[in-house]
Amino acid sequence: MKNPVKQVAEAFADAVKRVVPMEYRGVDRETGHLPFSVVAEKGPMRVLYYAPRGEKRLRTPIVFSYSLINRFYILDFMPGRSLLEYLTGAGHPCYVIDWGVPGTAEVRKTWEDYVLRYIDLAMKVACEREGVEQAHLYGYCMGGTMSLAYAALRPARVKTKVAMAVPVDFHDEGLFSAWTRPEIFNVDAVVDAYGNVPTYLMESGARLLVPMTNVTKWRDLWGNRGKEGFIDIWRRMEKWSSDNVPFPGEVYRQYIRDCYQTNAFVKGEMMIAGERVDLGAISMPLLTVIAQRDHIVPQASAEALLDVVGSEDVTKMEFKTGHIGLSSSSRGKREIWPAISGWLAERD
Amino acid sequence: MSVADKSQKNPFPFANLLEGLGKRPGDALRLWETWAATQFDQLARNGKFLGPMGKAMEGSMLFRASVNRMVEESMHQMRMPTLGDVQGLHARLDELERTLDRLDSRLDRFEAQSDALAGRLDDFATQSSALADRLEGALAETKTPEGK
Repeated sequence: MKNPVKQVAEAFADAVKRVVPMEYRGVDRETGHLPFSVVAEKGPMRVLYYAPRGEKRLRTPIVFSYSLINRFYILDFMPGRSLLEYLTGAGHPCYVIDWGVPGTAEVRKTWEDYVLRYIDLAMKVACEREGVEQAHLYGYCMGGTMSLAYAALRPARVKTKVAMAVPVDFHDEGLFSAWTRPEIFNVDAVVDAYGNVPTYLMESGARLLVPMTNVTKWRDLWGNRGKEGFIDIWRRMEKWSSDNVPFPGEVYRQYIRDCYQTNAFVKGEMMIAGERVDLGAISMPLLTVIAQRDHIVPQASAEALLDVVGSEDVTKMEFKTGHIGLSSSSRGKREIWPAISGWLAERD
Repeated sequence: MSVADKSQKNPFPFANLLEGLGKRPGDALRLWETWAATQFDQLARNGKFLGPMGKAMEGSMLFRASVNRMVEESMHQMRMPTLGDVQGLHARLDELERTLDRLDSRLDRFEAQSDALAGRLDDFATQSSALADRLEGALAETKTPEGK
């Protein structure tokens, strides 16, 4: 085993290098440990296929839609702490949307592009490749908001909908909600000034959500240096949390305006390509997964989905973990993922 | 919320901090964290703080946007392509791509409908040939007695 003090020093040096924004150092190439193949591409977006492993193979593929600004590989965080590792091991064919790095071409892309073209492409490819009519649509964080919009507007290919830590009611007790109030936050000024919203602006907001962790993480690193595997987990989390991509400008404008400022999404008043997003039109089986210690998506915001969907087969699962813990904690393998996999397998 | 709850042992958060200082150093640090987190949370929700912060941010954004515009205008005068031109070009290509995708999904729907229609036509053909067989049979039966 390496000298822990040396490991701490390396982790510290690595973290310091990451102070440089992604715009100047580029995104990380290392993205998880599971092998995957790229089965479709459109602009910077790619659809990644993770083949099922083991003897059992389920029929219905799962299509993952994760946040636009964080990288997809939180779903394959590290061996033993990987949602994809668990699900593919349980026989689920998995398709993950990697939104890629938005550039100049993405500044004027809209929710129509991301929801009705990109998610649609991933669903179509997954269904065609697996020879089925429908797929499970698994949304996480903001990717969940977008996939809910897709399920409401284009339900034909959606067999079931999983919403994991998905913000739905944006007028909640969270800090993001307080900071984006229209009298405080001028979203037009931000988009007009930058185009795509840079990572350093988004990251500074995220860091201020739980500001003390910016201090305590160093204490934790030093204090737990002797614990088996702790430094490795710490470094990987630090790497992932600083490996973000810019927010496409027009998508950001509509997200802030229709979700945070007017709360049109939950009210069923949001418009995408001239079509109204009515969450009541979601009638397929629905699973909502909630993290009780979520500081990014308050529990009430995620739970609001249960009051507005039209589905009759609705299941709610709650776990004592944080927003990221749902996909990367040690609790995942023990409690969270077996429950989700079981729910999906029942509806295969 | 849980952070705030922990600090409610004593109504004065600073008193909690001082109390903690008398204990082990780890406890004092944890109390400081709780106290600082509570203070920050209150500040971050305070309209008197957020209002001016928002205005300052807006000001810097507007300034940046006006500088961008000035640069664009001067580049246009020099007949040089600008970022705005490139974005505009991308937007037009996007619109073209969207139209193609809409056509594609319409074709998909049309294909599905024509498959369904083909299926129904097959059924109809099967039924009509069965009916024709039955008619032929019936005709044959009606002809046989005459022959006798």
